[in-house]
Amino acid sequence: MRFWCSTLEDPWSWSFRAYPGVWLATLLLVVPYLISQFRKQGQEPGHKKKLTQFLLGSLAFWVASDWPLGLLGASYLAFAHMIQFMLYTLVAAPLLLLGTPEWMATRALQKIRLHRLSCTLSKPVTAGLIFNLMLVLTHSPWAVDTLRSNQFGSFAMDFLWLLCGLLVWLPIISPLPEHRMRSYPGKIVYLFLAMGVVPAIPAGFMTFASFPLYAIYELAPRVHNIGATTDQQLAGLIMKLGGIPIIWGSIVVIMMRWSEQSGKDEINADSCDPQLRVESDQ
Amino acid sequence: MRRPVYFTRSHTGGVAQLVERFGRIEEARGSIPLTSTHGSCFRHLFSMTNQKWQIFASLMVLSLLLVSCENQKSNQKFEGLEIDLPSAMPELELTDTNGRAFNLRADTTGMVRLVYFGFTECPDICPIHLAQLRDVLELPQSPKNVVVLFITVDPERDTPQVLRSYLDRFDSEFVGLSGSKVDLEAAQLAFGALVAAPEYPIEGKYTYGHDGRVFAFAPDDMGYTQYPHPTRQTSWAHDLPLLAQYRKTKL
Repeated sequence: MRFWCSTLEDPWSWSFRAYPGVWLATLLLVVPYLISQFRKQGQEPGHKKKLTQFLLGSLAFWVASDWPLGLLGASYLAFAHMIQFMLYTLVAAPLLLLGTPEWMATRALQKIRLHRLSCTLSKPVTAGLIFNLMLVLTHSPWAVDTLRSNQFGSFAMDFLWLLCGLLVWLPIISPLPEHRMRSYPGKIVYLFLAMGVVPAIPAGFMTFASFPLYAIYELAPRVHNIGATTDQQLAGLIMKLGGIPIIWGSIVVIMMRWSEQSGKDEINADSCDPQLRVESDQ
Repeated sequence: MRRPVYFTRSHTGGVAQLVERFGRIEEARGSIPLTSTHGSCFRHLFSMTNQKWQIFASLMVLSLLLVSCENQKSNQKFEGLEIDLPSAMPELELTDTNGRAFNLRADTTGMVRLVYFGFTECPDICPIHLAQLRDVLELPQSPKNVVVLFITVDPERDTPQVLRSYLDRFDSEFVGLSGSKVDLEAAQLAFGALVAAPEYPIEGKYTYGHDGRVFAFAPDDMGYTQYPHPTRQTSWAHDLPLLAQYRKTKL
């Protein structure tokens, strides 16, 4: 039995394989959250929504890490590896952040004494640079072939993806206001640059490469006769297009909030104008 | 406890003594500062004992040998395993998937032959090799005069129909060959392959331990290189055009 999904030489089969490390990691995510929610006196407004978001984020983490997707991504198919990456960084990470209440985030960061560091790292330029550096490094053939070949390396890669996923979303949806960017146009530009531009480069390499880049996926026993080149092209397309609905969806939501805010500001400005107030009184 | 003699004997070599003297003279003249690390390193290097010199020389020779081996490797023509004494393509006759007699050499004249011994129930190496070859041969830069000859080692289960439908999953141009057990063993021996042997059954299915190499023959009927498992597509793509033209360069 293995602790975490990593490269196997056996042919792919749909027979279940247990990875206790994945279950343990998921429990370490969910159980402390539920305990602290239970201990908290007095429910906050939107408590149920936050709970649902956190549990959905944990579910995405578990689906991305465990059999079958975890094993397919660690050993057989480059496109499964890419779906994993998308789930960690674009689904699990933002849902976990959205589901974390402010008091819990403050308490957790104070406990592990990382509040100041989190403030430094959540600066948009820093967060964007770290995320994209991680993206390029963890998709290099050397990193994938080396880390995926053993379970500790594979665990490190998955953990890094989740951590950098959380980091890149901090300036947009952090539970702590000191992490969040205030300017709406700034948020839009950040999302576009940090998550929409750089991934297109490795995605382009994967889609248009004449040969498979990663040895582990090229030389893995084939799954349903999917060729190594086709698999890599699919991975490139997922990387290039898979994030679009989430990133552009988030941009649309930010624009709507921006327009709502502008409307409110205009009303407030109007109500403050003495001439208008006199006119309305008459 | 007394230390071994060779540790106490310093500066015994002629060169070492000269260097030691040179170092002292230079220090006295002031051209080498007394605290100079360069000077001390220099002296340290040349004041080695005979034994140290021997070790140093051995290491140098070893490094040179390694470098020459590396150069030899980089001078190789093929990325596959090159064979020192190229062997001729065996003249054999087996049966193809249409039930016709197929002469391995005569029926593939002027082509690059990639000969592989496997079986359709193979769970790992065979499908990987065949998928790799399919992908590489589909590339526009791949030569057209390449034929893949898949010779079964499991004639009981790999009937002509089974063999054909299996190879069609990869490429309908791949040639499937079979024969009697005796003929197939003779074929494996003729190519210098390990003769396949049945292994313990896995989940009720018995498998074969077989040679994982692809035996490549140039159009001049000579086998210059072989490709073990795993061989990457980049190696195939590098070698196939070379193999395809090898006859021309030889002539």
